[in-house]
Amino acid sequence: MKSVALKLFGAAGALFVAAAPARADQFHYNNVTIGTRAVGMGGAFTGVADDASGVFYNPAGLAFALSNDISGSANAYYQKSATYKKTLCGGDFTETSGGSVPSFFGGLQKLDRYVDGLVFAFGAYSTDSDLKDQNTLLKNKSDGCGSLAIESYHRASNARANTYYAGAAVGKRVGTSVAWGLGLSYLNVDELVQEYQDFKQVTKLDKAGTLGWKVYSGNIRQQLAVYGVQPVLGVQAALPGNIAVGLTLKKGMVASQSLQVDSETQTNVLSNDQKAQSDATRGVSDSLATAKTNSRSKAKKPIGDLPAEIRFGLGWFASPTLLVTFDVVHHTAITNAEVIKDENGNALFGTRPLYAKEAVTDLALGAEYYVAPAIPLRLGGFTNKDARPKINKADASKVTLATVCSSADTRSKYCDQPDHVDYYGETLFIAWVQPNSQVAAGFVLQQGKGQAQKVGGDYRVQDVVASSYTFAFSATHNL
Amino acid sequence: MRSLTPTTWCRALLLLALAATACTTGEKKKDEANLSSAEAKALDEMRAEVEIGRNMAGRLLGYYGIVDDDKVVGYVNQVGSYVGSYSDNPERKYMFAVLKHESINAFACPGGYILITMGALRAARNEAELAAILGHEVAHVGRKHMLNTLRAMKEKDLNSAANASKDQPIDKALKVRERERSEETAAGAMVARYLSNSSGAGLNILQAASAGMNLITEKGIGPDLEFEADEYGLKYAIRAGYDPKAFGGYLARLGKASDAKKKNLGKTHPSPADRVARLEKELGKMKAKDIIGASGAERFDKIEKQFPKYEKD
Repeated sequence: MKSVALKLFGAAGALFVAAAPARADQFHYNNVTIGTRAVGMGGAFTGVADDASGVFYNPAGLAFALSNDISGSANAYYQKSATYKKTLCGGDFTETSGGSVPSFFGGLQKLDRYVDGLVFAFGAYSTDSDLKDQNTLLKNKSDGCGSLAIESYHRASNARANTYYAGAAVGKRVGTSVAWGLGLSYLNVDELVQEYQDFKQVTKLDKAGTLGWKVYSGNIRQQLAVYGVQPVLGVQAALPGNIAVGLTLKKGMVASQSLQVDSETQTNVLSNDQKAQSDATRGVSDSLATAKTNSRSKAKKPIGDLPAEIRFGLGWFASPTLLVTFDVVHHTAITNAEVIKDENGNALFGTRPLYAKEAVTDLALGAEYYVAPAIPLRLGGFTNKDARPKINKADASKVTLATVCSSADTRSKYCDQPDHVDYYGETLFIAWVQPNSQVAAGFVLQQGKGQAQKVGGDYRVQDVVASSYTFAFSATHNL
Repeated sequence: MRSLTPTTWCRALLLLALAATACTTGEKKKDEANLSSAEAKALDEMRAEVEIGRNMAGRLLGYYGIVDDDKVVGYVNQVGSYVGSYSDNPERKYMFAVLKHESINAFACPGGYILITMGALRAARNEAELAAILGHEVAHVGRKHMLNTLRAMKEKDLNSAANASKDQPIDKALKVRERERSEETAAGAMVARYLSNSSGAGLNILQAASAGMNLITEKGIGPDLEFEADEYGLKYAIRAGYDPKAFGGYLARLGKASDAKKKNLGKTHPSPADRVARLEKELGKMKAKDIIGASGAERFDKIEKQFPKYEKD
């Protein structure tokens, strides 16, 4: 799931803060499930991994492949939404995005002809993808917007985010029951987010309470590019009782990374007459006060390192018609991401590194059951935990709420904190297996709950309810 | 008048092509509608036979690999089709391919798909011997040995043979990963019937093909049918003008070949000695012992020089 929104303007009308830039979702590790069989089994495939998706799950599993194959999967369509409760003038604010992604393409070739038990595979896959084009327009809101009414609020948000891998791996059996595997993938993270916001709001011009208008517009463009490689090492063993176990270690290495953020804002304070003239001419020719900002920030190490990934999986081949799998996947924390600063060295989006990550452990459970000899039903459940820290709530007994976001001491702790949403997912796929090929189609559903601070410069915390659904299909041909 | 652009021409041609296809299909259906019930049944059986054979040939090609030398494969097709034209079913079309394997064997799949191993080809000394081998396989196809055997099998025997064909020589660690297969399903059979435009002639095509694989590689179709194929194969080769003694000579040498080379053949065929003895009797019955036929040695020698060599089977 993604969180690609700028902070919204302050509900009290005093603040508009581009406090947290949009970002693609590098904070969840199960956004796109890879593989023909694996996707149906909730991504619990490390103990099996005996098709081309072993490049991702466990290259050692390749060595247990029964046949050469070539396969491709596509998320035919996905739709994501996150609703921030009681956010905009007391109302809910919902962000949506959708699109499609070719999630996996790969092939597997047994090389027994040259070396006994050696198998080669290649794969190109996407672990995160999002495409967003959302417009939000509010007019004449007075209820729930504090004491000062909003005449209009407009936000246009566009985002494109993809994380791609392309690589190859080999698996080799040692004896009949054990195999090792290793692989190397090229990786690319590409994110581009552009957002525009403007609003017109009643404001107090002086201490006497004379009312006038604040007219604001702001633009922000953010581009993150990361290139690197990811070596992977795996082992798999067949145990008594038709059980297979697998262990995979991955550690991405960044070759280059960059983040560029360009932003500009303009705020005009207008009298009622000036506002009327502005409305008539669709521009501001005269104002009581004008403030403009323009900044460009370049970060050379925005994400720091890439997390290490440790996967442990079990596969129980209970019978020719039933397979049960279980995975535990741990991603390590990232603590050396860079704090994003502007040209003058001022922290642009708070003092917390934007892409810092906590360690997370996800679980997945899957099953494949042949309801008929040609028709396997695959189902799974998995967690998709957030690598961002849980939200700190400002406690009135410990801090002064009125100043908590303007005090340097408390702002970074209680304000402009990144979202924290944990997801739980389910998969259900049905396949049609023929002697040399199979096709599969089904759904991946995710539901998330968490908290966020969607409004910039505000200590208040919103509950978040999020969901996504994906319709995916895949095809495999045995060569 | 407005001139037609290339795009317009292309569209018009595409439409014509589609219309022609529709007409052809329509005519075909119309022709089939005019068939007598016996003719329709024969056509249906022929389609099932072709579909079973194609499935079996695909598996054999997948397992052994195929020799892609155009000259060698072309030569085998030339000789095989020539012998086939002198068979009792000259109207049949036969497709010959060479398997990339050095054991000595040849397979006749229903519908006319005939596969000979590189080892069997190398073991021949002249074209007459090759013609006799191919004649033997042509006889299997023409006399519907495999199809009739499958149709005579009881459901449980078919199932058992189809299941036995799953048993690949793999170890337990791989064996447990094998999932339920699709051959036996009614749905799979329905799709196969649809694709082959055949009712299956009373057979589940995929199941029959699986069982056929078990017969052709493991159990065989029985000595009587093999002797019959020898008899008719010999007859076809002689009719085509080849040396009547060539087949016996080939089988006699086969008897002396290493066990490894004829391991699979031995499981599915009578011993070469018995076959040679039967052929001798047959030649006597046919009064063909004194016929002087062509050996085709010169042609064979030329093509033999181009036989590919493989490091490993």
